[in-house]
Amino acid sequence: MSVVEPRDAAGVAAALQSAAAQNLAVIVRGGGTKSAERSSAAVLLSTTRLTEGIDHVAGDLVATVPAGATLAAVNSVLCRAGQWLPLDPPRSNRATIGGIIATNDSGPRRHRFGTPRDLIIGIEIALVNGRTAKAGGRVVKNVAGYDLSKLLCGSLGSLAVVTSATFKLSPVAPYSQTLVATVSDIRELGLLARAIAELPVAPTAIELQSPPHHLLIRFETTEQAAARQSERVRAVCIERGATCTILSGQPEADAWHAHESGVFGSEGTIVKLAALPTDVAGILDRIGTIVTERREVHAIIGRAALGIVLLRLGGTLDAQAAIVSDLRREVSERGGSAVLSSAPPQLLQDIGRWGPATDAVPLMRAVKQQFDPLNTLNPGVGAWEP
Amino acid sequence: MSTPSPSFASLAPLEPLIDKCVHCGFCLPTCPSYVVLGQEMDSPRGRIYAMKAGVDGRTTINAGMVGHFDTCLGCMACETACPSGVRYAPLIEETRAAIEHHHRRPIADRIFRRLLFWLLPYPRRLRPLAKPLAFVNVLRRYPGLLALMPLKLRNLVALAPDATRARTARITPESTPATGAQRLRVGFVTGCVQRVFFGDVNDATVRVLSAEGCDVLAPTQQGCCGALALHAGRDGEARAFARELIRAFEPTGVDAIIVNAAGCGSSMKSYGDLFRNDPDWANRARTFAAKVRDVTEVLSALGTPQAPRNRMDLRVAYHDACHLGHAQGVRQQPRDLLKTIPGVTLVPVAESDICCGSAGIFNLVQPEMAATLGQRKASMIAEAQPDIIATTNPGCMLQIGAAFRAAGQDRPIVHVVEILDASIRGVEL
Amino acid sequence: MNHAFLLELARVVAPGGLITEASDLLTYESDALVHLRATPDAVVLPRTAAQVQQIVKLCRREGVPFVARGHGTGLSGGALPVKNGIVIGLSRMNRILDVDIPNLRAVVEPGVTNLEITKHVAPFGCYYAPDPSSQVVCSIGGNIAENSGGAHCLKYGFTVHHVLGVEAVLPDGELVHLGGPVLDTPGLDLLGVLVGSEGTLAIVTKATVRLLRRPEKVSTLLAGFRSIDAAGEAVSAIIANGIVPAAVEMMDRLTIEAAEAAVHPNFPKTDAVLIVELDGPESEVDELFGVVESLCQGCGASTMEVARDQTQRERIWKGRKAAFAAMGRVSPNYYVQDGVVPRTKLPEVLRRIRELEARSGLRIGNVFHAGDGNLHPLICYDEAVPGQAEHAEQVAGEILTYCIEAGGAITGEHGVGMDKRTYMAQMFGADDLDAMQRVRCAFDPSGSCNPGKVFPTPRLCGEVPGPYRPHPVEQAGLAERF
Repeated sequence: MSVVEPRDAAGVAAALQSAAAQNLAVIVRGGGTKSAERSSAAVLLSTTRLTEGIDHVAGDLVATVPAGATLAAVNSVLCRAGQWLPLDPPRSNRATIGGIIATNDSGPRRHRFGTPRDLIIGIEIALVNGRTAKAGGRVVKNVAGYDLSKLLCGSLGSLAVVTSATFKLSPVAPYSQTLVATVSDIRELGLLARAIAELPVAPTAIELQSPPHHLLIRFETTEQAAARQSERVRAVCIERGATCTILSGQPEADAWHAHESGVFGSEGTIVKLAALPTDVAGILDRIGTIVTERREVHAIIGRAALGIVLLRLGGTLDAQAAIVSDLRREVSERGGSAVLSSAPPQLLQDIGRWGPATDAVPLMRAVKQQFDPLNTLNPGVGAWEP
Repeated sequence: MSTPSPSFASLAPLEPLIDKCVHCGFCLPTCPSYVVLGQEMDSPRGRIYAMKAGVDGRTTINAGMVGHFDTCLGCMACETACPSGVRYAPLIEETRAAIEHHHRRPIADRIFRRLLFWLLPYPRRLRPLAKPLAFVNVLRRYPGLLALMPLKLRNLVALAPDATRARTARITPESTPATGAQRLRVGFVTGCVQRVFFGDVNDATVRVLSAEGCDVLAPTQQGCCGALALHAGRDGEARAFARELIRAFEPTGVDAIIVNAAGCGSSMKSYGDLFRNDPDWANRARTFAAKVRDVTEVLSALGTPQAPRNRMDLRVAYHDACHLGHAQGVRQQPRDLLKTIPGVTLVPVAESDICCGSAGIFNLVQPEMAATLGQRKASMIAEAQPDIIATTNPGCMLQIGAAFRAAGQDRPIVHVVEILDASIRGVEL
Repeated sequence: MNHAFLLELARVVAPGGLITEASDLLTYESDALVHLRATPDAVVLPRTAAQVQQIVKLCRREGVPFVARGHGTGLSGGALPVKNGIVIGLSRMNRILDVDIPNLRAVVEPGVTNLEITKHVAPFGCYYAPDPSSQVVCSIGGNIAENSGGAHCLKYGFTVHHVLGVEAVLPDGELVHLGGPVLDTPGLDLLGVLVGSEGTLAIVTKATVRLLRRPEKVSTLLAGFRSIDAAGEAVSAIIANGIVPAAVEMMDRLTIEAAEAAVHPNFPKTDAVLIVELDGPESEVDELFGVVESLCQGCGASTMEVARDQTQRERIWKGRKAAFAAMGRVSPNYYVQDGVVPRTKLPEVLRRIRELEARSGLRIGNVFHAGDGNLHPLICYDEAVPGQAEHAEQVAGEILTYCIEAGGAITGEHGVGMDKRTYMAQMFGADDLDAMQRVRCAFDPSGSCNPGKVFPTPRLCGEVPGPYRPHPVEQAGLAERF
């Protein structure tokens, strides 16, 4: 497999055009933190050299960042002016902006700030026809033309290669503290999260974690406001029989680090479930039963109030397949999904990454066809693939 | 320069009013005909656009267009909603007049309208109907029989006033002195339908005005104010009635001319417009119009009540008659008056700005749409769970009464002054 | 239009659902951008998605272009009918189908008005966040087409952030579901590109929207300033202090006058007013609001009024929301433009607009979302004066070029529609427009869905085998085949 490392958007476009002309497939890779299909790939296009020019306009709360820069590097520059790109996907010290956009990845702070798709306001892409194109702009309010930025988010690099993006930012909060509530029953995590979500508080995260069963509620605001909101949450937790600890400073940072590592720090198949918030308690219940019966579920985290749950599975492929199929059935009935974020190729082949196809698949194929008629870019990644 | 098509020529002088409309659409969600029918032609914006097209010579009056103007209730909710201050009232009135002058309705329609206008504005012709009303009221208890009747007739039966109320109608005395200190000298318009079928309301009005320190003069030789005719585009008739009424009140020299029917009050306040092209009458009309007050307006303006109120424990749903709320902008005063009675709780009614469907003769000539609106209004009122419904217009009382009956319920509906009167006299309603 | 085609259309909708009378069709010839008019050949008013599908399939079969329309309140001519085409009006699809408060979601038909959703869920302490000034009448379908924002989009985002899923009819008549009540539906984010596509990709027949819980506290400040510059400085200071208000609105002297005449909000008679609103948990709002007040004072606010209750707050917002339509009281006609400028470039652009005002001799009022740099210059003119309407259009266009030159956008909310197509080529290059139009070709290869809008030159989507049939866009006179 040949490797190309273009330095700029034009270079990326040229590489794509060349590969397409030779009927070669192109795998795009940033920090290598997300697995990509390895079909009959012939070209590995690395974006790690696309790091030129972080353009931060603090007065507008906006920044244009290159696709090859890591999120951590970008935020370390932005926070010099007291602002940041409010995303916390896993492995942000290695994950690149391009990769995060391509997977629409996010973390606990999704609760408050959303996903890359919710924050992106402009984009520059390189296409397989050798051209580069821009969409959106540098202002938050912009409805001129189609919103290609959103289309590119989560497109897994199958339509075009993102070379740079413009985001709306958030001010860095003056203070942070996290309330950790411990409960004895896994189902209670879902119910407690719902109870807290109904309070007039504005946390940046409401994260579930298991085992053991914890709910982490994070406040990033002024010290006084954080303290008062934590108090209200604490009162509800105690009422419901949970025990609470409040963390800040380094212990808080450590706790969140451990939280992420629970699922992303070790080997295993990662499954992402999406369901209605009111279904979370029931799903956790189901997972709890599986855990009791089988023990292949090693760690669970999730945005409890949004209905997003992530699990790390171990055990034999057959066992994993059974668990995923079981959960898929459970969530699909209620309109949700169970997706294999990261899994061995054999498992992907056996049960499919995405679950049942929707009626929008032909349309997705049509869009893919328009952007990449020869299926040059990251072939086989999409939910629209047969 | 485009020339107006002949049928729209009378609207050409009103073009500056038409041009005030910026086509923003804020009037649409509040227009009952748009809410029910969901098409642009049946909205104020669409109607104004059609008027403009007519004035520009792009279109002429045709049966379809007339239909869209006929679905306009004249409720003026659009005037309330309009941020540009478009005065829709003169536009629709002129358009209706243009229709009456230039368009020939189907014969059945013409006969029906002729009949209505032969009857309704003439109390002497209405009075003999009191007896047959009793029969009609009985007929209402047999829906099977009613179903056999043609729609318009069936509708008339459904809307017909309560015979017992009509039987007790008395003639208002020509002069009633103030009780206690005199605060104001007022004239009183006794109305047509109100006088004959809601005589109680007139009696209560005079009593309450007197109790609150008003000398009330009600000339016996007064007739119709012309509101129904005006709102139906019969402008010639309307002006004839108006002149008579102005003549009847000019000699009295009163401070204010009181009316207890919202539709009439709104029409009378716009007499200045009605006579804008008549140099002989323009001033007299404007002077008269400037004195017109709804009874709730004048009582509220008198300030602290003079007559003590007796307690009445009632949940009252106040229904804003369009011609009082929208056309005259009087909303708070009736509510304030009801609140002067200890024990009264005002229960808010949802969609209070949408017409009940009475709208002059609208419920007689557009029975289906009126029924839809009536049902909607009745269910909104029912949701508020009132003990009694209070309003300021006889048409509304008939329409809402019919709507409740159609839903198999019966609710007492009275005029605001009737509640005040009962409280002052310490009697049951 | 083919009579047989009209008969078939009539059969699809209930009696009264097809409009063909010339005097009736007139009323559909424009949306709220009145200087653009075109009479459709017919207007059809379906009540169900199945009817919409049948209509679209018929159109496709006959090569008839169609334009979807909500309540006709758009300000860019997005619902302007197309020559030899029909209008599909969604005003009768106006039911709220489902409300799920525990999950904070509602399912609505496209003809439901924006405010109706909020009214419906208000008893539960919830609301629908995007609040364009026309929210009393604008339809959700229209909001989705334009990705409408409103005063509170600074903190809460736009329609695209509050629509979770749609059911839509594609230009070939097929029904698709994009997104849904559950987050992260697998596959391409077609919903993200549909929102804001101005009715050129599909017709939405159902939308699942996100609801929010009313914040614990809302504090609203109305501050008067002696100059626009001073007000602008106050905004910059607020942002620099790390505060993101829920809304920051600015109005200038002329628009204040108009609003005062229309709805009497009791605004101070001054050169600029700022409306700053913070919302959230009480503890947070109280602390931050104090900072905002002192920052405004520091920037020389001549008057400060803090809304003490909901009535006061509504009064203040009524003044702002009535501003456009209220201009009808101070000028016979006006042209409202919609450009965006990076906040840091606002003072410079506003200065250029003042200079333009003086040069052109036309009064220009200004209402804008100061928090995000979205301007709404209101160019006053009198169409009775020959040439003045065109002059106003020119002035509006020049303001757009200032926005582009300052690194902004030609439209923040109203959309490109028909009105700003020509400016697309100033803001985007040929490659950019080509990339966007690939999406259009995927959704609508036959070019029958609201053709001629947004893009200055349509990209024809490839040869269709078989006998030569003129492309609907060609028939509409909007493009040539070479």
